[in-house]
Amino acid sequence: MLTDKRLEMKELQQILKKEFIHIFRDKITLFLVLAIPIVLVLLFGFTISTDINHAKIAILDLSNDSQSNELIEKIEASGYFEIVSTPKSETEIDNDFKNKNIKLALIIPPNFEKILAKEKFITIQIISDVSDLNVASILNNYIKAILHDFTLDYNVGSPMKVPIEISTRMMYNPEANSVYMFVPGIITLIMIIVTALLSSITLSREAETGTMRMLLIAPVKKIYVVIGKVIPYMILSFISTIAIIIISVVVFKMPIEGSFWLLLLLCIIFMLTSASFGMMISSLVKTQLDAMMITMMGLFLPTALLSGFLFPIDNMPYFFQLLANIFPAKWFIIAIKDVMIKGSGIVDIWLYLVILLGMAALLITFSLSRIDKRR
Amino acid sequence: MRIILILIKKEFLQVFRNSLLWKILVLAPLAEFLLFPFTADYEIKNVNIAFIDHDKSSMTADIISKFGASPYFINHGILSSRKEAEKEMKRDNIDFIIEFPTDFEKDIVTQEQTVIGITANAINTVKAGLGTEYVQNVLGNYFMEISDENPVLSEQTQLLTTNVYWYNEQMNYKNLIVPGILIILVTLIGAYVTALNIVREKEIGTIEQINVTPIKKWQFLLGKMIPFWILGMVEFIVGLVIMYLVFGISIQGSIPLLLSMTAVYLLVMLGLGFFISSVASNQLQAMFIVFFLFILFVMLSGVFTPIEGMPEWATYINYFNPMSFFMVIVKTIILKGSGFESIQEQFIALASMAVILNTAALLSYRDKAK
Repeated sequence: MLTDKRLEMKELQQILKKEFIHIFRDKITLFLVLAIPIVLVLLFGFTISTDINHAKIAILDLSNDSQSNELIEKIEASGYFEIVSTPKSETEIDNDFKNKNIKLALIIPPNFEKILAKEKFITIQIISDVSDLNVASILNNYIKAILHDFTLDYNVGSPMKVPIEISTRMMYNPEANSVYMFVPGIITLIMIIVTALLSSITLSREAETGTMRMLLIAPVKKIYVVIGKVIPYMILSFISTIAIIIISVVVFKMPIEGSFWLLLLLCIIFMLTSASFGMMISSLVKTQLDAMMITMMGLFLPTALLSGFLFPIDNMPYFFQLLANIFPAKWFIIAIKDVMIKGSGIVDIWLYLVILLGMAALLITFSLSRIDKRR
Repeated sequence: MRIILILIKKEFLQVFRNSLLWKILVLAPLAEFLLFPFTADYEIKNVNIAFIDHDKSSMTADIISKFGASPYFINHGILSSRKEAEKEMKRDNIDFIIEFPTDFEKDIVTQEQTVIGITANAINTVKAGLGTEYVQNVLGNYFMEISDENPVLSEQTQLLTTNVYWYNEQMNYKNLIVPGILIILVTLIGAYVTALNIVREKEIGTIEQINVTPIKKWQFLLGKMIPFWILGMVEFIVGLVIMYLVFGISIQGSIPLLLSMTAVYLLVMLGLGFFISSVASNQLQAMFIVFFLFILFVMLSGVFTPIEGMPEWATYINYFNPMSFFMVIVKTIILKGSGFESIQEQFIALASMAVILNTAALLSYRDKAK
């Protein structure tokens, strides 16, 4: 009995050894697998931001007096806007939207200074390009804040009312840093790609070239063949994950409020779930191209869109909110945010861990039975 | 010419013989295109809000009812303590906490300084930022109303604004995201499938067989290119029909112009796929290179995050990003209805990329043949 166990371990070791030889022989792939995630995280950490700081706008100034000039100066000084055009008429504004790609146009009415002095109200027209809705509403808010500022300055001297001050506190992310929102999502996508894609491809490559058959008729337990093929890629993925976490903490100042070991456990469990997704896919297909397209279309795109990384889940129609539950990424993203940003412990996230483990168990059972049939 | 036709026939046979492959190439992208725009709603609504009321006056009750009436907020009512509120926030049940101090109403009536505390869950910075604006709007409107009787305020000059919204009057987020997802799917077909298809011939050795036949390199490349080009075009056109029928987005500009731009864009993507296939030695490598470029293109193209928010050096990377040029073209033609003169620069950029990439691919294949 004991010798049996030892023999089995030896079989597993042999398979692992074979797989590592495969990996280290193909240096280019190894380099790509390890380097690409790091480059992507660095790039996105630096470039993705939901703050806007140099939006192109046009101002049609029908007054051209000292007050309107002052207003324009204020807008320029804010740093949010770059005035790329000063059209002479409203028809020119249309052209600026189409050709100069401006996001917003402002029309200052004639006799601005005079009306300001005489009347109580004066209306400024804002034209927004709302083909990008969020940019439009953010810019609108910036402009309104500047206009408000302008009126405050203009009314200096006359007594002020509103004794109310509003104090705002940003919980969990005091500097309102977009990185907090994106890094967990990027870690998730990269782990899915490295683990699920690599394991589905490596298994279907054996199927495509016919070597899978040889492995399955070899006197090795089927489960070791599969495990032995998947473990090396999990190790690679684990290395990438650690590197990404280090980068997000050191370069982007992400906190790890909770326990570091809990974070590692969470990552390992998620890797297991991703790898079993890869196994499942490879058990369904015969070629690498099929495996890859299914992973991209069936796992990667839905994950990017449904996991709550790019779009808030509670905005989705009910059907999609339900659908989101079957993708492991949703649970992982909630859990990793809880641990890294809110400092939650295992009591808070145990349910997510159980869900991820349950998914892995289901998928592994399914794919093993499929591989069995194929044999 | 006949040789090319035969090669094209071979390619189509291969795609449709493999029952799984054509489903992945044709049906899956269309299904995704039908479904995903429904998920991609970035508009901030359903902001969950709760209150801590130390004052319990008629004024605070008034304000709370104002939030209940606003379409942006889901009112979770009054919580008993700060501790309870933070616990709810940690569980993601609420996004905003508004705290009224004791003697809030009394202070306002007697014109004393008083403070309203807003606490926002700021992990999602967009929601936190826009949500704060909404909260301030509701509060601002309320105090405008109650200070109407105030004689001092009515003396002051105010700037009012009127807003006009262009190109998307219903303020529908889908108008941006639907063309974006369509472009992503067409790109996947173009670059991914071509790159992997050719590398596969390399890997299983069938490319050697073709090399010893009298088929010339350029004939081989054209034979690979035309089927996938047709596939991409068909998919794009079906996508446009779905866009109109399902999502109600009609094309404001010229359809022939849009299609000819797409034809050029597909040439760029196919060329990229060829070039990668000539560099990579197995499908795994090809896949990782395409994947890297694909993510890079998507994220920098401004489909999901505003280009205006990127640092300047990142916008220079976009000069090498065909997807970002094509995104501008598609947006200006579909939503703004512009003509060719508005997208000349983008067209020139795409056309030169197509020429450079395809030449590079052809040359690197020649080298190998020698």
